[in-house]
Amino acid sequence: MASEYGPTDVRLLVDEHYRSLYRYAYRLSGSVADAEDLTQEAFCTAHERIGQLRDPACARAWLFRILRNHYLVRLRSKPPLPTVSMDELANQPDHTDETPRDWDAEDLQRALDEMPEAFRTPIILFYFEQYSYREIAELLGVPIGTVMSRLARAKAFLRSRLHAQGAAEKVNLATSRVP
Amino acid sequence: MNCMIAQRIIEACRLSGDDLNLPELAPAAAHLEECPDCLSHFRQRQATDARIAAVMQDVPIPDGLRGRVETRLYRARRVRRVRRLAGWSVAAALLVAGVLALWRQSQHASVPIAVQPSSEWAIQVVQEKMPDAEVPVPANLTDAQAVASWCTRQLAKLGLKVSPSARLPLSGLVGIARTSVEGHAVAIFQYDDSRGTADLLALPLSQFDVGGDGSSPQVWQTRNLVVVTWTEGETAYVAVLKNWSRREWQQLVPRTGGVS
Repeated sequence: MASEYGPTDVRLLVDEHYRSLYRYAYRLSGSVADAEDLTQEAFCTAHERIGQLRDPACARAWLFRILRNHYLVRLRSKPPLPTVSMDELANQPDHTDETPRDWDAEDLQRALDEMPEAFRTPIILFYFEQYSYREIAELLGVPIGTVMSRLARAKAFLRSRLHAQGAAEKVNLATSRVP
Repeated sequence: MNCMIAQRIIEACRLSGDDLNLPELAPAAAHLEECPDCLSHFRQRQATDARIAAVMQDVPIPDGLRGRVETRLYRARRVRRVRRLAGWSVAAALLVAGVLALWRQSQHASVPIAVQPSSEWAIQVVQEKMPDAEVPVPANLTDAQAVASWCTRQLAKLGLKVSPSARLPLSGLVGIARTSVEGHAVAIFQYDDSRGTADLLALPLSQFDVGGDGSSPQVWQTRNLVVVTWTEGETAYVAVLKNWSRREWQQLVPRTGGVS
């Protein structure tokens, strides 16, 4: 029902979603300033296009999509950051002991920042939003098989970064980006 | 199902592991029941995933973020309003200008054209309104060539350029004059071959729509100039109408099939 969120009711969206939108933006961008800017831009865009929101139940996903589009625009306008090649992540089943070493939110963000965007977004949506594979595929507009593959590799990368001592050495740290 | 395939499938499961209840994942679930290593691995992954998810969601919200979002929204709204207002203003200005232009055009078009039935009236207009407009015709204009070149010079003096390609039958011209009838310049010439003399003759505009002996008037038109020539017996006429449009001419001379 479009009427629930009329042009003047974007404040309802702000009330309800600004925290999760900011957190998502922060995990995507890794920067407080960028995250705040992205959040504000997303709500401005939402305000302009509020008429496109037909089902208020989809508001959260809609806002996330808007924010990600803003993020991608920014990403394209900036020089590429060094990221890790995901190609050489271990594809073999990992039965090694995953005794957690001490890691915190900063370690997690660092690991996320090292990922190419094509892997970072699905892993954030998976962990942060607890989206299903199908939902991620729909939101990103990629086949579900691609989402599964990217998530498997991204999760393996995160674990190797956050857990096993020296597991990072398994990762090819040559700077490159996923096409 | 071997361990490698099972673990790939496990990677695709949600944190809660509920997806293992899906029919398509039944083989993986069955493998977990049979393989203690994979089951242990699966539980470790679940624990890791749960922690990653918890940490990932633990992002402190900056103080005053909500207020800054509201402020930005307010500014964006104001900018949009101003832009919309500016757009409407431009549109309104264009509309007014358009209406004004149409009104002016209609005013111009509705100026009554003084059409009088007699040549005496036209001559009177020439004499009253533009007493100096009458150009004395030189006595030495005895052949068509001389008439043509003289008329061309007179046209030039009046600022009326006639293209050489206009093929004006200048042999019929002997005089030139200008008057102002309701804002339009009119020049009319008459040359009488039979007498070998030339007279200035201002004709009423109403006579422009007749071909005299049936010959159709010929019309040349530039952007703001209409030149009409026609003959009546031995008499040739040329009318130069400045600032006339073809439409005005056609309204005035609806029967001139020669208009081209």
